[in-house]
Amino acid sequence: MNSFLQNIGILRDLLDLSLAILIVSRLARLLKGVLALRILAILSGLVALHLLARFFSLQTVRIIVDLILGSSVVGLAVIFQTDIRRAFATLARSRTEKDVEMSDVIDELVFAVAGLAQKKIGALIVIERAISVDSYLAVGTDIDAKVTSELISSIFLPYSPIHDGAVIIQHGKLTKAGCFLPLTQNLEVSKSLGTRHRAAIGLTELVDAVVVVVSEETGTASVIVGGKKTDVVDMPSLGKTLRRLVEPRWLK
Amino acid sequence: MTVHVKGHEWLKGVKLLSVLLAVLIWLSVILERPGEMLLTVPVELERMPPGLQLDGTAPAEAEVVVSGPRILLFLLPFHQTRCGIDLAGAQAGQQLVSLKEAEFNLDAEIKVMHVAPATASIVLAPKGK
Repeated sequence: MNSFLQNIGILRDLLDLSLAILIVSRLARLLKGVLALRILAILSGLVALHLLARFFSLQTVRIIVDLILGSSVVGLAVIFQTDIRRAFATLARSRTEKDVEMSDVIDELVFAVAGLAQKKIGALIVIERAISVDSYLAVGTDIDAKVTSELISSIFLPYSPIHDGAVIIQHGKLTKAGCFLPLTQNLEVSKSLGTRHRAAIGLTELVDAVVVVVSEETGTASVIVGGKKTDVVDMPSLGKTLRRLVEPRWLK
Repeated sequence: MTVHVKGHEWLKGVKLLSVLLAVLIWLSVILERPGEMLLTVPVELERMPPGLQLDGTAPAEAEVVVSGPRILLFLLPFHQTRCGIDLAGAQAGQQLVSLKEAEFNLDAEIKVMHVAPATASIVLAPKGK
């Protein structure tokens, strides 16, 4: 009976630990990229310091660390108020609604790429995922509009003043156009690739964004992720690829 | 057509740090749970009244069961814990002192649950006798 109760205690502790890991991991996913790393590292350091202060009965250090830990909850809530608001708003929505929204954005993109490829009009479309691309963008025009195939097509028309750069899609919205991206420094990249492809490879070497490139020479589309280029065979496969690479949470 | 997405270092870092933070939080909760420990501590007579001295012997050691947060119990065996019997105001003759009420130099969060022997018989006699 005693060993049974002891086993229950161990199981309860393991369940407690597993749930704690799940909750912290889920909360960490709300934070963005490198910032999440820094915040988690600082919080881990503070909790470790609290444990050490408690272990060695360092009362003053413990009071200071506990004060910082206590106020950090409020601090984090202030810093991440936008993300928290978005997370709660997301909770309120149904999955179907999310999927429909995602499908809308991807469908519009695929439709625009198909039109541009057919007319051999060059295009460079960046879809931001978990890591922000903002710090790698030069110049550009703020737009902040709903993603529609008409808007994307008109931006890349040769007479458009912003047709030369990249279009940026962040949180399911077309936020910028005419942006210049960092070119790849990789010497192994084929010399046959033009500036658009080099820019797409350069950006994806730095962040986890997905970039769709339409070549004006060949009229073919390709998807670039993590510095790797994959040619698109047909438009339905482009849709499938984008749905696999871009999770609904990155389009919200 | 297959597109392989490489896992990013930062994402692994976030996962690892999330686990580390969760384990640290869990440890800080687990280690605050109350635990018990048996200690053998020296018995010391304090504030002997002037003109009196110990006649015979007093217990040299006492076994003490203490209870408190586990995190505070780990270092207790390395701490110079002692059981101090305050003799201020004592008079010549036999004194029966409850060791549970003796002075233990322990953290405020650690409580003495049980002491053996429970009482100590101390005989005080005027000096020079």
